[in-house]
Amino acid sequence: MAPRMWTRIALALSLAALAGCAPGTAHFVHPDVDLGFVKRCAVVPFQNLSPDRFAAARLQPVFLAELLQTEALSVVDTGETLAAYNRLGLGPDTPLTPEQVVALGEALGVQAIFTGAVEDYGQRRSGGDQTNAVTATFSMLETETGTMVWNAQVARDGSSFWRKLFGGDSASQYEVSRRAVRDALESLF
Amino acid sequence: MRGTTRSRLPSPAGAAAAALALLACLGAGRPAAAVGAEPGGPGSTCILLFTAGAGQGSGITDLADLRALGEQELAAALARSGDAALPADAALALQRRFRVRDGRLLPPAFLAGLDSAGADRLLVAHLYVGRGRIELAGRTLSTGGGLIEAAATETCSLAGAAWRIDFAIACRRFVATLAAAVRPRAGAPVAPLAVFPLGFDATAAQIATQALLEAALADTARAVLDPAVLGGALAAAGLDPRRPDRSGLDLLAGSFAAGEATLVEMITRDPDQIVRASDDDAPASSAVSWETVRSFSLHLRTVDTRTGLVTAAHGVDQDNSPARGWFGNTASNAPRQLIAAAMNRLWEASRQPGKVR
Repeated sequence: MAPRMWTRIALALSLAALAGCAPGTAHFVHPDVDLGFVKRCAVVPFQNLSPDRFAAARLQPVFLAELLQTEALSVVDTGETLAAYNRLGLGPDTPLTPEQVVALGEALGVQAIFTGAVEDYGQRRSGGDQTNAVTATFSMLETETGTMVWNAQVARDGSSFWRKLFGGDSASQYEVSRRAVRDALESLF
Repeated sequence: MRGTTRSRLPSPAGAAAAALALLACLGAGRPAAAVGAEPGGPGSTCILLFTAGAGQGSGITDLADLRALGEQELAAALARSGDAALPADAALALQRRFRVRDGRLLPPAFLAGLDSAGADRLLVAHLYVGRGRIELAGRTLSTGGGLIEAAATETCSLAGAAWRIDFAIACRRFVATLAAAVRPRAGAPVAPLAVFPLGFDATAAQIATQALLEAALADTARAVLDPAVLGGALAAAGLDPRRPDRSGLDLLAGSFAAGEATLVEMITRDPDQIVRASDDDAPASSAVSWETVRSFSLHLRTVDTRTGLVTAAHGVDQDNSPARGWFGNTASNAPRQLIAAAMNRLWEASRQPGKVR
């Protein structure tokens, strides 16, 4: 077999190994909705399904920062959003019904609402090492009918091919969170 | 016990007596009236001193005495620099009347009361008493507009019999640093609210707020509004001082001419905060001593007070392990240093162009 063939095989195996290591993102974008009408949005309190009691509180500001980074939308501040939540008698850990989404949209003057649920957050054992990990689901609901127009589930951890090969600590929880949120938002913008 | 000179010292009686004699020699035992400065007269400074944390093993058994001593030392230091202090009794009466307990919220009525009493400046300081040291942190602000003039932090050792002298010297250095740090400020004021803690107690939040103010004052020539004044105004109007809504933002814009509000959250990354199956009834926020701090994240967002929209958001992570430098050197992991380092990084990031760092 020619040396070039061996090189190709090695490259293919490396790529396959990398792909196997890479955590994934699954997403859905409503095919019949034009997102161009969304100019102003709000990020409501994330649901926390993980054992870490502050996981949602930590992931939400990261999501907000990354959402602003896209420069695609204006975001209403948390204080105003929470005040509207209180006025409408909504709980932070309760999934919103379409009617509640419409009411929230009217109260805040926004065209879309982002929700999130943190499913896994913290350290996880990967091989023989501890690594930071995040699994979360994010959604965007349009406030005219309360329909979900985007949903992404993302799982990321702090390990990498190079870290596994040469050793080294896991990426910080903050970095893992940023990557997870970026990967999710890339499927929208 | 307030205002008395009796105290229980952590040292043998003989050493304590020697320390007191030395203190008397320094002339720092009571407020000294400076030439041209009349206590309680127009243009005086009101001193608010709070004990914000008391670590175990400091040896100080009577914090009220320590606070009274601190007030005396600060008044003496002010007098030496030519500033008169509002008499402690008058300040205490106003504190009681307007229920100013910890300096985190300063109601507008309290500031108006100070103005009526002739105090146009306020010195708010917190004493953090630890195992081997006392930290003194605070700021001066104008009672009229709620603008901060300067902020500073000083430390003194509790080791040895003469700790009172060290404390007196630290108070003098603190006042001198505050006086030297005053600089002309102009432009639309920065409006930072008190740091909102999640998983930390009020003391850690107070330290973080102080770090935020020091970072803001060091970095910008713009005027900086006092978070306690802003919080007091919001609370007096029946609004949430931690997360202002539309009405709160309107108040900040209308009463303080603040174009933007700066909100910072400090969230623990303590693994002990993880809820175990048997721990569902644990308190939502655990107290962390000010002498140790768990790893944490700081998140800053800037909100336009006219539109209510977030204009910028930034975040940093801070581990509580000491940073290792070259040649085996390690940076301190004392909470104040860690929080200040993280806050400086956060503030620096927020000043860079672009929305997110």
